[in-house]
Amino acid sequence: MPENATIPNLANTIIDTCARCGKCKANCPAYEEGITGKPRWEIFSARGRIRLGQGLLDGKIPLTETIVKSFYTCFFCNNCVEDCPSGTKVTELIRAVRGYIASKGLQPPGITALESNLGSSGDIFGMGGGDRLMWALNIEDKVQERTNTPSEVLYFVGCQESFKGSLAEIPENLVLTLLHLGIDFTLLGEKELCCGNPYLLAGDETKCFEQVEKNIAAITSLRASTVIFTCPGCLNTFKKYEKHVSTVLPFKIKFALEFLSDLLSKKKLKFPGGVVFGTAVYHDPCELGRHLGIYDAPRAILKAIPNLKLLELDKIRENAMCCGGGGLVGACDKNFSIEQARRKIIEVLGKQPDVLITSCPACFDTLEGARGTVEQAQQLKVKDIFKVIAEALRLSS
Amino acid sequence: MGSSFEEAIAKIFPKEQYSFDPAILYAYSSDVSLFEQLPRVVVRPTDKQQVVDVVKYAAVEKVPLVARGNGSGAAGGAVPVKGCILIDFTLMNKVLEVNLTNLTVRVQPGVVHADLNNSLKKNKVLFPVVPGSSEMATIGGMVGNNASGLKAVKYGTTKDWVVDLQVVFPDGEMTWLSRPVRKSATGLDLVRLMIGSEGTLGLVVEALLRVAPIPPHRRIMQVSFKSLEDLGKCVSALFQHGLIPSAMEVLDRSAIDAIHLYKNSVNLSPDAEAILLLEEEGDELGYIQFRLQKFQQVCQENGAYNLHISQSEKENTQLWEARSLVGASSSLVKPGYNRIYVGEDITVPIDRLVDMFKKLRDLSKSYALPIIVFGHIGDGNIHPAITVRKRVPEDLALADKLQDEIHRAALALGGSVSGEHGVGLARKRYLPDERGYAVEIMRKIKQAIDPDNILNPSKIY
Repeated sequence: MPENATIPNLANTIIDTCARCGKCKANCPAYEEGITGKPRWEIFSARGRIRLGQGLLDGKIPLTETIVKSFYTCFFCNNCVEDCPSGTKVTELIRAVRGYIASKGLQPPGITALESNLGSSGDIFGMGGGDRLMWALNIEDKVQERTNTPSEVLYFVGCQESFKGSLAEIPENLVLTLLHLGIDFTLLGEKELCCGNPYLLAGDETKCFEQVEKNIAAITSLRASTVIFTCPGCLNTFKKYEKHVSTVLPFKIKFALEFLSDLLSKKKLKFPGGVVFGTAVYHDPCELGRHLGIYDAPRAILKAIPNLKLLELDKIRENAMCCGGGGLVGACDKNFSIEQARRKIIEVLGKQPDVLITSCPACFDTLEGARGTVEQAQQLKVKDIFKVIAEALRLSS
Repeated sequence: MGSSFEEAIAKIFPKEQYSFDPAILYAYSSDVSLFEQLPRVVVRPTDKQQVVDVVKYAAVEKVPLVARGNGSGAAGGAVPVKGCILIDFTLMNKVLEVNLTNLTVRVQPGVVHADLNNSLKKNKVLFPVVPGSSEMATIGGMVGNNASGLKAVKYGTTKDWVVDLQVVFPDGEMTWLSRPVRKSATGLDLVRLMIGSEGTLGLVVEALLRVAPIPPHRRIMQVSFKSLEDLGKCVSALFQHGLIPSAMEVLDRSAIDAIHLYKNSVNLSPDAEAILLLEEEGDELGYIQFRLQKFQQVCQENGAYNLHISQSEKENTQLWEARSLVGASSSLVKPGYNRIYVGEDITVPIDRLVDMFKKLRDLSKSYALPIIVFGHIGDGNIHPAITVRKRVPEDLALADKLQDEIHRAALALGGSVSGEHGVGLARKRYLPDERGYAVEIMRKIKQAIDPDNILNPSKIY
């Protein structure tokens, strides 16, 4: 048997559906090299990866570092799946091959380290539950009294926002907004664990869903009827679990923007005006957009903010260009990720906005990191949407 | 050759422009067809001199060379041959010069068709030969295969829009073949000779193409029929009335289903057995409507029902995009059965379309394999899509027999085995039957230009 025992079941369902037409290459961000837009080698395109998957499956090629590189430079932007005329589930194949790579001990060191942290501490940074609330230093008193209290709404913060100082403003601003709106909400605090998304992206669905189940148990103990997220990756993982077990969770899961958008339509969320934002471009995060189909809620909110003129990029919604922050690519090859982010920044600069707004911590982190490397972008501000909302409500500055 | 081969390649190309990596070679070992073969090396030139140098090396060492664009060919034309240097032209993808007086554009061969037209849009002109694979096909590949597509009924094929080509011949000499003028009567038409030669006579390193103004308006009329045969008769009637649109496409019931399964928002008839899509374009919307009324009248006299005219450019774009991808979405029609590209590009005279449709229906029944039918009916070009269980050898064997019957049926009706995808490896066996002694002439030309047979050997002839 060829050394591909973990992926034979993909033959009929994924690899054989590919007609090799190459449509997926046209919009694959990994296939085109950063600002130059030069086509890379075929193995960096969705079609190239399917071909390599077929080669592994049929035992025609050995698993090599080149193949690992190919499969760990997919951003999981889902453009290929969205575009594929023959319905090939490319990202499922990539997850499966990543799982196979792990089974052969060839996982990139960055991924191994990440999984090791997850296994030992329950979060991707290896910090442990005790530091879960370090994001809330500025609003500690307000958060402490909300933590682990049975409530209608539970806010699932996610690892990145919890532990990465540059992202702490995201949960801080959402919490300030929820308090302003008088929402009865709670947080898991140190009981919150990583959602499991990195396991999923590394091809280990079992471990991923174990994480989800642990979080579900903690959430259920607080009797929340709605769980809201500010990380699209976390929400996507819960949704995938829901689909996997073919049952409805004992609580609703929503992106926080959907929650706020509902309040906006009920006129419970109102922006007073007085803050000038100027022109803004909204970047559709892949995981929120193509994966979860959430395009309208952020736009509804941004359009409701006075003194903010929303400009649309040429490629938006289902066609939006990836920022390069997804798929664990940054954990394996930071430069590969930044090159794509620079390309995104250049696209944004074409509209000459004052501010670039996004709604995903990974996108924010990646775009803000790349902005400094693009000379023409020094005046461009990059903001997370929850920061913009809090500013518009005059809760933050 | 051994390591000296690797050294020679390294002398011509910087290390990021060539690869001997087995995974990369495997990724370049196929196109859309079922053929596959590993190349010895893949090289990615960024300029003409590198092409000249690698051809000169190959000529001395008698190493085969195969040119490749984006690998979207369906006949194996760009599939490597054993031991070859595969030249991937996708890094030579620049639009070099647009001349709006001469209405020409000069391009490198690796530019993708859709990218070319996107870059021309600001000048309100386009390269009007539009393959279904517009987002994938490179101009070099289109030249090599004499590609066409949706608009061939009005604009013809690639050969009608190429003014001049700069070519590297198998001896390493590089030359333009004609002059940058609209017409020239000086000797043999070597430009035409190169078009459709699938990289067997020379390697195109630059092309001077004609462009046309973008018509400001267009409308698509969708016409339903109770059978493909009825539709075929209607098409004959339209031509007899001298009514030639800017595009004329056919979709049978299963092709309509495939489109709906891919994009359910596309508005196509839910009950027709076949539909005809007729596009009219031009400067004046009123004139387009006047023309469509004429089409409408003939269609209604010939069994058509449920006529619908598109109302917006968004609807037009969505419709053509869905149509252009129906080939690949054929895999969605029957779960477990996936599209393979065999017998997929026949052309018959317009007055034999009805016979061909009948034949396809009978073949699908007798082979118990789904055949999804669509194509550029305005030029008699049908794309029967065969779907099989790809890992069932009996299905593949059956499909091979089926495609043979399809090709032979097209030939028997006075048609051709390829309208726009080329011969490559897939249709080589039919060429003697289709072209007779003309194939001998082709072989003599190949022998004269490439006596050592280094350019894409084993293809076409």
